Amino acid sequence: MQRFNGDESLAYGTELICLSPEDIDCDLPWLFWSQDLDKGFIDSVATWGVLQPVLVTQEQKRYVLISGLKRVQACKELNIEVPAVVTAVEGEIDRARAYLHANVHRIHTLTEWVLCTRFFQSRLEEDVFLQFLHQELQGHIPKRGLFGLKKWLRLPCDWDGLLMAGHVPIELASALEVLSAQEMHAVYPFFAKISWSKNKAKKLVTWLFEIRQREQRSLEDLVLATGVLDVLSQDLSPKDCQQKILTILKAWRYPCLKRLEDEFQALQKDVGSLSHWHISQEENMETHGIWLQTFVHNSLESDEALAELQDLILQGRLEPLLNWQDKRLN
Amino acid sequence: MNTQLPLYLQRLEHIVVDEEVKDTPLAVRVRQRLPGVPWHILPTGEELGHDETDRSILYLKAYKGRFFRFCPGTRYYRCCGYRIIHIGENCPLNCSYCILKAYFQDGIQKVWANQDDLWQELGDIFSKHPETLYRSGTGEFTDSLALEPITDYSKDLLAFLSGFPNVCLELKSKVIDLSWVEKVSRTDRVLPAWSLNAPEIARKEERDTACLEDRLKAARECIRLGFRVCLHFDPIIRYPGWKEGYSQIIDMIFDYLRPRDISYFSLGSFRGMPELKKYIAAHWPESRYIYDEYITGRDGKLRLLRPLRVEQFRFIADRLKKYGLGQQLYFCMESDEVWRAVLGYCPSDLGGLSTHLLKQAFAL
Repeated sequence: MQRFNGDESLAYGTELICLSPEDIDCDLPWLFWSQDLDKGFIDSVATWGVLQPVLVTQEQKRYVLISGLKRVQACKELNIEVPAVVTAVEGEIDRARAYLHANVHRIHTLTEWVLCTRFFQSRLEEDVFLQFLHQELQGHIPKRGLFGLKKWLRLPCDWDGLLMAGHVPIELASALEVLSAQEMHAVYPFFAKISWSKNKAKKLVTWLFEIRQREQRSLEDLVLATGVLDVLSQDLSPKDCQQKILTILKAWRYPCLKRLEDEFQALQKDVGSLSHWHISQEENMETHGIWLQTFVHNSLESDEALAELQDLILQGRLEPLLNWQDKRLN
Repeated sequence: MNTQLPLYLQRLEHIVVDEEVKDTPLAVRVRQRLPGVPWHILPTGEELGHDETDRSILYLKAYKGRFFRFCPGTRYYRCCGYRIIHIGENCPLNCSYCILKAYFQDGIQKVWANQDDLWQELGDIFSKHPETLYRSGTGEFTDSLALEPITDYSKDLLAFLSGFPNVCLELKSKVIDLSWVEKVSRTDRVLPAWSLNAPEIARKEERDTACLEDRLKAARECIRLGFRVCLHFDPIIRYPGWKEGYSQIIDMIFDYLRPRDISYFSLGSFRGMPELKKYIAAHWPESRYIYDEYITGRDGKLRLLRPLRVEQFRFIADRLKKYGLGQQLYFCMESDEVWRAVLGYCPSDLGGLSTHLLKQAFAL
């Protein structure tokens, strides 16, 4: 193994050298997947040493890190030298590509891929970047994932923080892409404060957009007119906050459906509150009829449930629900 | 380019033809009628490699599938039992709501040019059961007449069907082309049909189609020649002012036709796979009807919330009934509940929708 000495010529290729951590430049933009140093890793290096050398390249008389930041930081912490392989990689892009391929095995989420691809996106022409996505990422990301990633990359970078924080799912990009920059700004507060599931986030954005399309008013106006922005400042749990926002928007997006659902629910409560039977109707009300469901543990409970059902029928307590369907759905 | 052709045909920029059908009468005819359009022969076994959304291509294909099919209904809603004579895919007209845009794998206009195979299959079926009546049509997967100026497909088909009195053919269209009339041997075995809509919908959402007045004039001309006609309100769309709009078109219909001239009249609310909504949003941003209260129906398609559909159907059906239409009215893909709510009966009361329409078509 060759040791670093500033007066000696530098080794290239697969030759191993040992470097002082101080001699390696680590403040580099292509280390996009760098992780925080943790005690477990330091202990491991202290016990086992650096089992896999870091990758560096030479620039002037300095060494520049290509891959292995956490190992360099651990060595610095432990005051030991860093085993390194010196390779000749010129230019930011190729160094970033080398970093990508040296670390790709530990990348599992599309969010991590966003970090990586934003680096290239900001430095490559659009068509070159698209070519890069297909050539470099194929095989590492499933086709569907790549499709979602490409959609996300069309969004402004300031949304990446919400993605990293887990407040928005990457799949939301397909709903967000129809919004203008101003509209994106208008919906940003909903995601800044709380974390949304994929389905709920899509409903929020899609409904806002569709109400805006139908009503031909600005999304900013709509957010104010519906009052959904105020809900964010109410003292509610994230779940209740989301529920309230979506309930308000549903009444705007599907006024007739929501009204009918509320009417049925009110009637159903009258009947259901006195019974162990859960009463519901078909979602979207395409057909007449009601569902009656109950849960029993044994034959005694099933006998009781059947008796209760018989009472419901004999007392005509289900009639209002069926009559309501005849009257309101026709 | 032949400037006598409709504009939508003047927009064709490439003809692609499968090698095995390049010398068929249909292919030769298309080539003659589009003399300036480049012609590309696709060797047997090769796939068409064009952009799948390219609407400037006409592909004359050697079709290997079934030509005679059942309408692709679903078990949750009542299908009319129409039998499709499959002559091609996609439509050169440009209606925002067109369900074909989300139905086929690509948007390329295709015509099945191996007509001998078509005649063979149809001949086998129709002659095997001469006592069986068939209500069939070509307007399910394409417009029956939009390509007629260059293909003469309907003329060929009518000439072929003249030997099968057990077949009634519906030619459903939004254009005016009555050139096929000369090939008809029995006017009671052909049902010229036009799809109509509220004037505002026709004006805003249907491009390259004939205006409503011309469609109705053509229908009246067919009546004069001894045919009965079919009319279709499909898709019915809810938009601000829909009552006035559908009232207008209904009044117009009876300015041109008498109830007895109409063999049957379908009503269908706008519906489609979820992909259709995305397609419309992306391609027709001004078409805002897709943001109405559409829910997912039992067949997985988007359709208007039932009480809203019923309200529209009831309004339209009542007005049509006032003009004297009765059992000619039917719903395309609706539930018994909707039938009962609007018309007071359901298909089983008519002996089944397919049987009922067969009687209407053959005037039995």
